[in-house]
Amino acid sequence: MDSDLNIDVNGEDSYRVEVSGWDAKENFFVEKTVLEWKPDDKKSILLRADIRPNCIVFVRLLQPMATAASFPIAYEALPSAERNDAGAARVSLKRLRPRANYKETLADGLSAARVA
Amino acid sequence: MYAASRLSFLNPPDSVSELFPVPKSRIGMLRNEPLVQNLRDFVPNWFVWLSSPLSQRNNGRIFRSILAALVRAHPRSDVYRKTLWNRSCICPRMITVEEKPIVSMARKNLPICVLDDEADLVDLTTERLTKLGFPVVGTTNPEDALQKIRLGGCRAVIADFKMPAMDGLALLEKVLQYDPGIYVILVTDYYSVDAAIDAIKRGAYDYLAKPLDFARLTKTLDDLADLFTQRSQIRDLEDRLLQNLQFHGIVGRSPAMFEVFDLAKKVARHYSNVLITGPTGAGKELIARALHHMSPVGQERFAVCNCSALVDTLLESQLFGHIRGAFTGATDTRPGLFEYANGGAVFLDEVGETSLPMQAKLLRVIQNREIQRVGSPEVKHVDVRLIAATNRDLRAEVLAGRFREDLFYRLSTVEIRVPGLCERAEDIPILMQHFLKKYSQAYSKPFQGLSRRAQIALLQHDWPGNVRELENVISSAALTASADFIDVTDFPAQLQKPRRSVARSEENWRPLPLDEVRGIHIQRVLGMCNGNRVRASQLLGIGRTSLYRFLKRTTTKAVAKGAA
Repeated sequence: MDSDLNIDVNGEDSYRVEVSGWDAKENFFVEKTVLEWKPDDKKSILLRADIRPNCIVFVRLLQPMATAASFPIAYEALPSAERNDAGAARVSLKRLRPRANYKETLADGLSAARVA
Repeated sequence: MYAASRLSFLNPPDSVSELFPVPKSRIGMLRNEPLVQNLRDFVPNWFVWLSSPLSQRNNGRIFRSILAALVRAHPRSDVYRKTLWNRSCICPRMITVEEKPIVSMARKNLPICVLDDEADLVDLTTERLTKLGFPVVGTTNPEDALQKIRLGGCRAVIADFKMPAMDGLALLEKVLQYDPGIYVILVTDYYSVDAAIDAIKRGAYDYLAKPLDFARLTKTLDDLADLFTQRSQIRDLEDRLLQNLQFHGIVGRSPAMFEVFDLAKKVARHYSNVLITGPTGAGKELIARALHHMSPVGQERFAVCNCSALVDTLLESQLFGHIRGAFTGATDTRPGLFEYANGGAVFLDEVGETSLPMQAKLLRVIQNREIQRVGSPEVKHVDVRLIAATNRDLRAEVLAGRFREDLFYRLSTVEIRVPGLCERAEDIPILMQHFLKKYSQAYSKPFQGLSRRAQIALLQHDWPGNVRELENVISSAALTASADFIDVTDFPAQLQKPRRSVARSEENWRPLPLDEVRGIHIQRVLGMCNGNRVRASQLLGIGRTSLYRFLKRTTTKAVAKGAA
């Protein structure tokens, strides 16, 4: 019992989150898990769902004392092959940035060309 | 669109060009003449001048026939009909038309790219369309045209079907790939109905023959300009509608959601315990927040606890708090959520996932509004409103012995059921728009909308993950899309394929004997009730003896099969 209470879910580098996305069979899943945010800026979660490498998952922070609902953030998921006894795999998360619009890309390219 | 001010009857200056003079000899034929047709096409954007005085009588006849044609063409313009008629009496002169267009705003909002391998044709078309008030760029190079399109400089493209560098269909495909919201008009020397149908099937807006009939082209472009103006007006209206259809941040216009909103409004003032049920991702937490905001304690704290994410001991500490030394690692005394939200509301999400011992502790809070910190003998009184939510059928859980019946009755004094997205399909378009707006802002990508086929794909999906899944789809599409419109190719792979669920259920279907179907169902219910036959028979709606008889029969059959 005591060991359960030692899980520092609200510690400095652990956050309770809700993860959703599509698994390898393209079925939608939602899982509650703990996100670990290491000092080297690496984020990872334990996930039971079988997901494809480089797929998109959405992570929403579950805050017990929040006044407003949190926003689901998109990450690229990189699951490891190994699974623990509970059948969960460690999944590294890489923050996804919005792809630039063609217009911006071209406008940037053109202005760079003009400068050159 | 055609305001009275667009038409003026003026005494013309001497230098006015007379493009459509009416010869004296044809005065009597005006009603069916091409001149009237031309005027009907051009007048809304042209000044009408009076010149070349004729006899009072003949002039009146021409005048009336032309005015009648104008009024027929623009029946809404009562004001100018009156004005014209009045003026016709005081200006006894023959009508001519000056080529002096009044540029409508709609035309200005339709930038056009003209692409043809013949430079003369590009110049001619560009000049004519510019005179009509369209912003036009012309080029003979398809790559230049594509670059302009990618930069967002065009909303319509007039392209030659046969060009040496790239044919019209290839260009069409590329343009639609960049932006499905762009309209492509293909023009060709070799017009055929089959080719026209093929081009339109591939996404062309129109297919015209050369030499270009400018009257038809102008009409087509005016239609497009009107369409864009209408769309932007519709977008504005939809934005306003979206604001009106938001109930504390929840978007819905379906009868099912209106019922939910009504019930929430009714109970918000008076509730002490509310149970919100519905499938996962349906928006239970949003309803809970709305309930709290509408309640008299809306300004007080609202604490959320997700019961499924925590083990019992941690959940107890989280809810009730603990004192220093209560367990290993409890280095300080900490209040729980109930104390934190004292005077406000606590939202227990996934309450159906709690264990029976935890349910007993929750029951105590609900009954007596009393809590005890872990490790402390002190009992504290709290004044909180409790909102619980679950995606499970708590009645079935009670019958299966996994949920306390007394707690269920305490929680479900008021029950709000949030429907799944498949039950409120009419909300999908407005939800699409809501999420598109949300993620356009979040990702700083000003999307114009979703392409038609993208909308169809979303409307046809089953949404097992409900609104949460729809939000994720729009969010991921907004991340990856690089054009102004989100297309079906921006969606996750499963949404780009035809519907699966029907096919899958059909694949799995086998013509089983009724006895076997009954057996499978009974075994599943028994499994759900952990083998408790009394509860299983209650759930199945049959007598206990019938269940025993059925199980005995199937066991005997199985033994007989084994022996054989």
